[in-house]
Amino acid sequence: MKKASVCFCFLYFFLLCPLFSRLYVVTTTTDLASIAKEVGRDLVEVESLTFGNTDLHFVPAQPNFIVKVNKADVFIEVGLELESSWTSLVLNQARNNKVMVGQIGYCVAWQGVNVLLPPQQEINRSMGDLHPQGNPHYWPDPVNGIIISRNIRDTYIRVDPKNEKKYQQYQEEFEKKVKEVLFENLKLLKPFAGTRVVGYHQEFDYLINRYKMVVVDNIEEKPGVLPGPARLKAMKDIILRNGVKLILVSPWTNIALARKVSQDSGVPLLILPIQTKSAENTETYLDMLRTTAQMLYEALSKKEK
Amino acid sequence: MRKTLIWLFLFSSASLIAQTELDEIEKELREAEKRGEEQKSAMGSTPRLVPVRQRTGFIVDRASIPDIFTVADIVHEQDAYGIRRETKNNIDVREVEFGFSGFVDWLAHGNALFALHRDDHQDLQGRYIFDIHELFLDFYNLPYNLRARVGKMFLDAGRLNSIHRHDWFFTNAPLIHKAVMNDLFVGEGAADTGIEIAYLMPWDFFQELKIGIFRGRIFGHGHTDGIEKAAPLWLGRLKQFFPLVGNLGTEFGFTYLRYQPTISPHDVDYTYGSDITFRWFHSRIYRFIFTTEFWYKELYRAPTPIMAGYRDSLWGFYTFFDFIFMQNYGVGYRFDYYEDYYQVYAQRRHYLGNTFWFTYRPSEFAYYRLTLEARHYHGYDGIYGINYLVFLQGTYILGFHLPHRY
Repeated sequence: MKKASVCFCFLYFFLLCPLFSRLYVVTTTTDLASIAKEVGRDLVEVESLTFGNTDLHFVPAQPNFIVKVNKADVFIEVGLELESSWTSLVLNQARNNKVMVGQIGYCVAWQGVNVLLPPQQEINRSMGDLHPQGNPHYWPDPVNGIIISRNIRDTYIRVDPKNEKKYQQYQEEFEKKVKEVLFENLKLLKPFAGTRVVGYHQEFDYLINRYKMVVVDNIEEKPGVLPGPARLKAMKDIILRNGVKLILVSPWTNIALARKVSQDSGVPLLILPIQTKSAENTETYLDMLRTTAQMLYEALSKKEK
Repeated sequence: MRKTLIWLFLFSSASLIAQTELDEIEKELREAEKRGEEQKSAMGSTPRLVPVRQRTGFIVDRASIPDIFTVADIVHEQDAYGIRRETKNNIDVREVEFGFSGFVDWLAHGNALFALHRDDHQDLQGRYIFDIHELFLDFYNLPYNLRARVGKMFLDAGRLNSIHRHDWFFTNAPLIHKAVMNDLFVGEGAADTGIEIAYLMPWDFFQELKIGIFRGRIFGHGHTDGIEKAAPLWLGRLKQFFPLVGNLGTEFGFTYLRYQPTISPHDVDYTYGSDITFRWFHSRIYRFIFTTEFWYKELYRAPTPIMAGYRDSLWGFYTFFDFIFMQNYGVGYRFDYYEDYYQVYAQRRHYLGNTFWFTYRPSEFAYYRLTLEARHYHGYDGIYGINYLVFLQGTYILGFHLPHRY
C-alpha cells in the first residue's frame, strides 16, 4: 500500500505536473497552431478552433470554441478582420479576461507583416468583402511565418517569463528551419520568376509575390462575391491577353467555377492547399510550405513541357 | 585546372546569390520588427482596434464610436387561395430596427436596439409602434465562469425567441412559438426587463445554465406596462453543444418558464420546452441547418367566487431545414403542429402548417425570400380548412452586422 502511494506521488509530480504547468494555447487556424507548437514545443499544449480545410471568413461560432477559449492561457488569431465575424462573439462569451483583445494572453499574429492591398480609397460594401486593413491571407509567405513565430514567442514570454530562454531558443530553431525551406523553395521556383497566374480569391498574393511571380487578377471580381457569367467570360480574355500560365484555387473556395474558367481558357487549374492540414502532406506549417512550392513547380514544369 | 576554376566560379556566384537572398530576407525581417514596434505604439494596449480613417480624413479612435446598424424588413403578403383572408394583401415595411453596440467600460458591454414595427393587436389596428427591443448591459467577464445581463432583452427561451426576426431562416414564426410566447400580433417573440445569469459549466464540453428573473408584468411582445404581480417571471435554460463529425455539430437545450398572468398568486402558466439543432457547413458554399423545437404549456386558473378553477393546456412543435448552396441560394421547408385544449371551447383544436421557401443571399448583409405557406386549420380560431399564402420578403442591414450565434 505504502509502495503504491509512493508510486502514485512519483507519477503525479513527475509525469502529470508538467502537463498541468503547460500553457494552453488556442489558435483560430491550423497554421497558427503549427507555428505555436514549434515555438512552445513541450511547454505548450496547442489547439486550433478550425480544421485545415476551412474558409476562415465563414465559420459559425460554435459553442465548444467558448469552452476552449475559456481555459486558454494564450489566444492567437490571424487578425486583419479575417475572423472578426466569429472571434468577437467567442471572446466575449468565454469569460476569460486574460485572452481578451489587448490583454496579456492575446496575440495578434500579423503585427509587423507588410500588409498587401490596404484600400487606398474610401471603401464601401458595393466593392465586396474588402478588409479595411488590407489582405489578411499573409501566412503562406514563409517570411510572414517567421514574423508570426516572433509575435507568438513574445506572447509566450509575456505570459510565462520564467521560460523565456527556451522560447527564444525554440523560435530561433524554427526560424532556421523556415529559412531552409524558403531557400529550397526559392531555388526550386527560380526558373518561374515573372510567371503570371490568376487566383480565384485574393488569397495567393503573398505566396506568389514571395516566389517573384505575379497574380494578374482574381476570378472573383469583388472579394467574396460569386462571379457571374459575364465575369467568367471576361476572365478568358484576361487570361489569354496576359499570358497566364496557371489558375489557382484553394480547396475551400468555388472549385467548380475555377474549373470552368480553366476549361474555357485552356490554362491548367491547380488546387493549392495554402492552409496546414488542408490536404495530404500539409501536416505542419513547414510541410505546407514545401508542398505548395512543390505543387507550383510541378504544375508550371508540366506547362513548360 | 580550367574545369576547377569554372566550378569555383559557379559555386561562388551561387553562394553570392544565396547570400544576396539571405540579406534581402534579413532586411525584410528587420523592417518587420520595426513595423511591429510602430504598430504596437500606434495601437496602444488594444492591438486590434486600429484607427479608422473617416470620410473627412481625420483619424478617429474606434473605441469612442459604438457599432451602429439599421435593419429593414419589407414584406409583401398575399392570400393566394383559401377559406379566409389572413393578410393585408399588400407590401409593407414590417419592421425597422436601429441598434448601437459597444463596450461601455472594462466591466460591461452595452446594447441598445430600438424597433419600429407594426402591431396588429385589435386596439392598435396595425399601427407602427416605436419600441425598445433590447437594452441591456452584458457583464461578460464575471468571476467563476459567470456572465450576467441586466435590462430589457428577448428571453433566451428555446431556440427561436432570442434570434431577431430578420435573422430567421423563414419569414413568419411558427404558430406554436407565437402561442407559447404569447405574441400572436407582432409575431416576433417574448421580451421582458430583468436579470439573466449564465454559468458556463467547468467541463470540457459546452454546457451553460441560465437563470432569469424578469418583471413579469406582461408576457409576450406587448407594448403596454401591464399590472403588478406578486411573483416575477422565472426562466431556466440548460443548453449544451457537441461537435460531431468534421464541421457537423449539435446543440440542444431545455427551457422552463413560470409566469403569473393575473394578480392572483394561484394563477400560473408553466411552460416547458426542448430544442435540438444540427448544423453543417462546407466553407461559404454549402451550409445546412436542421432544427426542432417542442413546447408544452399549462395554464392553471384558481377558482373564483363565480367560477370553478380549471387547467388549460397547449402543445406543439415545429421542425425545419434550410440548405444553402452555391454560396448565394437557399431552400427550406418547415412543418408546424399545434394543439390546444381550452375549457372555454370545450374541445381540442389543431393546426398544421407546411412552409416552403427559396432565399437569394447576395451577401451576408441582405436577402430576398419567396415563401409559400399552407395553413391547415382543424378548429383553431374556430375554422376548418386550408389557406394558402405567399410572402415576398426583402431584408437588408446597413452598418455593423452583429455576429450570429450558433
